[in-house]
Amino acid sequence: MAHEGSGAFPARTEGDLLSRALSGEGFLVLDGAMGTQLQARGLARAGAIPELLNLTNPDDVTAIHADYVVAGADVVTTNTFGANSRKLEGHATVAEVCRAGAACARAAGARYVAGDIGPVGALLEPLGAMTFEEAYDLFAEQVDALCAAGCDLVLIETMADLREAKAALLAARERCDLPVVATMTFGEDGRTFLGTPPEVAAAVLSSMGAQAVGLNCSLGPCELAGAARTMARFSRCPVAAQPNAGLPRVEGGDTVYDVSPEEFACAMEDLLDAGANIVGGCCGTSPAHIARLRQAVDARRAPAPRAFEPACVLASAQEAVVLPKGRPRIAVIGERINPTGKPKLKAALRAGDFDYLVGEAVAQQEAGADVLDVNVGLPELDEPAALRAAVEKLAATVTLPLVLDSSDPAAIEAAVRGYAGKPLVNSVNGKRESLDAVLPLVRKYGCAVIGLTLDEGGIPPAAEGRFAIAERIVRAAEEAGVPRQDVVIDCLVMAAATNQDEAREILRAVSLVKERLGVRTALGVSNVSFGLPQRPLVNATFLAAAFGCGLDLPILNPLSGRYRDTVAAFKVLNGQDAGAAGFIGDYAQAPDPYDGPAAGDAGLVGDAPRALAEAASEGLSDAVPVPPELADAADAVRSMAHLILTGRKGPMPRATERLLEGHDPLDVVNGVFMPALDEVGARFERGEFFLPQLMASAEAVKAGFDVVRARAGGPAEADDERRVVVATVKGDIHDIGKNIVKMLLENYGFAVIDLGRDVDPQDVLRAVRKHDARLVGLSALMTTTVKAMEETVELVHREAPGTKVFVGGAVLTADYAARIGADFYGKDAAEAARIAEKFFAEEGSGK
Amino acid sequence: MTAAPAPWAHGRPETARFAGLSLDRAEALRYAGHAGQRMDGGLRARFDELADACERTLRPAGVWAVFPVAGGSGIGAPEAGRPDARVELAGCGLALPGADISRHLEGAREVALMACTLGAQSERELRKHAALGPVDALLYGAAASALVEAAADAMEALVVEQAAARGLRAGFRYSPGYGDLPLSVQPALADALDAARRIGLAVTEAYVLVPAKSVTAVIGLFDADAPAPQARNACETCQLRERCPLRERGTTCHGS
Repeated sequence: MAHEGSGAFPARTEGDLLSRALSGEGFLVLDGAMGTQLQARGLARAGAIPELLNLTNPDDVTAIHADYVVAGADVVTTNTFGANSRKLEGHATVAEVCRAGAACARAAGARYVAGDIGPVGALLEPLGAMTFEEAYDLFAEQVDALCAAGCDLVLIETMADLREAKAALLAARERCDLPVVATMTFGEDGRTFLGTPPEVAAAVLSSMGAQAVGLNCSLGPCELAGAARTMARFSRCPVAAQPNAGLPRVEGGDTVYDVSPEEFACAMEDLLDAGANIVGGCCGTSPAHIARLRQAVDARRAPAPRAFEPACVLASAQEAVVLPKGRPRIAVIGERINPTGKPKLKAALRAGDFDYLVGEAVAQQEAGADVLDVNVGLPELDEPAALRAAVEKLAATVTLPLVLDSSDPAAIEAAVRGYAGKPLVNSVNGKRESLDAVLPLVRKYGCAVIGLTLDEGGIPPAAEGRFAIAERIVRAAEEAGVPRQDVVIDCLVMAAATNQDEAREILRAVSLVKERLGVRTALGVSNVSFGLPQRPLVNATFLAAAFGCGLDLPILNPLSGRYRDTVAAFKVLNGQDAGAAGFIGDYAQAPDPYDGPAAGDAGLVGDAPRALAEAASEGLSDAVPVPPELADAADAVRSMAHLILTGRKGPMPRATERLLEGHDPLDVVNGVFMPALDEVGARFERGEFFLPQLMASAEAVKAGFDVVRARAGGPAEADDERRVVVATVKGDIHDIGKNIVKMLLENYGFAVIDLGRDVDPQDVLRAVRKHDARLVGLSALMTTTVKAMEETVELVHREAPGTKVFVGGAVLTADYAARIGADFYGKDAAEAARIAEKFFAEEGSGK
Repeated sequence: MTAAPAPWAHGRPETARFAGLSLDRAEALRYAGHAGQRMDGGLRARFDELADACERTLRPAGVWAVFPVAGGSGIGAPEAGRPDARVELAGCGLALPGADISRHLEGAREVALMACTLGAQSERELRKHAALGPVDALLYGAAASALVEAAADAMEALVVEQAAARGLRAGFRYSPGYGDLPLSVQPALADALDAARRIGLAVTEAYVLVPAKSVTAVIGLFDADAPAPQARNACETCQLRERCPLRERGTTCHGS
């Protein structure tokens, strides 16, 4: 792998015209469509691989290129859009096709040859099944081939998935020193189909070191002008634009486009005005379009200046948080995804339960966080793997940009590599070792970074000392190729209880850093109150003071109302909340907590009696008989049974805690939870409850179980003797049924190993062996995937004799299940739980 | 009277966005297994909140195009019901194999293809709700299914209206997986509509549509004076008809 060193992006640029264009000083005219021209020459056959024409019809391909050269294109794009080993399907090697493609372009007399790379043709995770590494490997092979074939630059185009674009760009940056132009495809709603807006594409790809970024395909130049303007504002490098000749339609079996060369060139003026200086055409454009575009370009003396606004941009694939230089804009970093002092999060991380993190993320998002810090550092955990898994899970479910928080550079790299976005790396510090390890990663992956004002000498007590380290970090970042606007300085908050003088120094340091270095600032606010009473009051006061000194990115718990109040009020004072509309909306009707009686949890306390009253009125009170062990708490038992029967998980923890006072946990589980759950199951069986009611009851029981387990001192451990492997079979992505089965099994105390969806038969077998599981549950929704189910059943029976398999899914019947060799058929989740109970009972009794 | 509309531009995919669609709450609850059970207020409120979120945040989109029927072994002939029957469409290389679809399209002059989807955002939301808890996941998924049905209904209504304006009568919409029309036609159907590029709809190697909350369908267009079509009865050709829990309870998934 060719990891480049520090300094400006080294890219081999051939000839003056190309380097002038890539520095934004000159124009570069690219060619137009290849596919449209192949079709016009009758060379595009349905189902055929167009790139193979480089080998079978090189003269035709060369002739098309030559027409574009004559039309005035500076750059000819090789006919290698789909020349990856997946799409070529073994008909030819990637190297052969690329070599022939580059030769055709050269033979046409091209001034520059751009090696073309399109999407791999399969959806990447999480939407599809292809991994980031698999996509990278396909691109790497194509990059190697194009580079070896003598291309002058690499053109990555028509990307809809930012993650895929990133894989291609990384492959190009790591494996060759050619300049790279990367373009994405935007739809009528102004985003790619995977939801990436132009500002995110521009910020992410240009930060990662593409020499030009832009847009191509999908729409005509009129429709793309807005996106081009946005990209120009957010791109650190020149902007490229290759629109279609309008929208396609099928006519007599052919795809046709309606925008004429004249109209095309005319509409391209808007894109040139926006600052695009690398221009050409995509689908439907012809040499005539390019000739007319050439004239439009030649009529201009120099590219229009791009309206680039230097800003600290943090981005997920779907949204950008922009902190412009010199304008007040605060963004809250939610700190809750951090195991320090959070036993539940620790337990979840140890169990590999990343769903728990999603809950934390969504709660913070709803409470107003703009960015989420992700820290999964636990001594016994493989941090690179865990941080990566956490980031993948969050990126698939939440749209907020992420902060990758780790002291281990290996963990940072593992997580950032496949992250579709521009994360904030937390953190680097003034120590030489840290600067050397972290800054190259920040630069290579185009991140922003938090710099901590500490070094080999510790944390300087005075503001000037902290400032000096900040200055050193900013300088080192710039030397490493990380621009100043991507550096965020954290002046490190100390506890006022132990370092009282430092509180003022910290605030002064923030001012100095902000004014003299012109970078954004962050602070972990809550440290200040350590050791004091009324911590939220101290925190919020310090937060307000820090805002006044120029704090941009407070790191805090957004669920704290006190913080939220301070942030909301300050956004009015700094002008961010225009017209105070947000503040008025949220606060005009809200009671002032200092007026009237203190707010308590009366609502919660009142829930149990209310539940009891309802239960009585609905005739539900006797649904679960009060066991003798709990006779002294009959009302509490009835009320809890009612909570379970009505599926209310909210009040369950408190109700459980109260019942546990003075009672044996086993009596609560066996005397209330289980009988209530059985009653729910019976009602479901009789059709009195429908599925979500059954599930909501199971959730309520789970909330109670969690309290019982926490009381017992240990994490939520299931019965490790009764292990069940569950999976949705290969090819099937409909996993909701499997998830419901998993939930119910867990509630009945089974240890469930969930392999997810689209699971290969071999992976099921591996899990059975690894966990020595005696029971496997498989789901399939579609007729087409029942075959994979049959294969899995057969494999498990053959290779792990004695292991039984139960199956379920919409298209299955008891007969069908028997026919594919399954041992049991579960028509629904309740049935699955009964199967498992019976299976382990019989196994336990030695049958 | 308004002027006659322009003739079909055969094979011209038209995209449509459906803003402000409402999903049928009762239908969504049926998908989640509801058959009139008494639901307590908490669960109902939770469902309504998720259904509201579906309607508010998702942006259904669709694409459709009309193709002439090129031929096939079953067209207007007694072989329509034969197992090897097929209907071929002109200009897109799509053939619809199966006795049921041949019978369904028997006598059709043209065929409209349609696809609609709730988009990549629906996938993200489904994953989010799956992580938050299975009840939310089930209810949200059911609401999303009802929303994509609403989008398919809206698209079908558009086709019916456009066909009527041209003196054609539209049959009811028929999706791959109904009867013996195999799911393996999904890739060619999506290609004929340029659906990947128009609405971001992909088909996996196992013929699963991605985003999952998507619908593809075929609508036969008949001369207005042709014999009336068979009554709409989606159950008749459904593979699940013998073991459908909804039918057992005397209802259907299509609400009648």
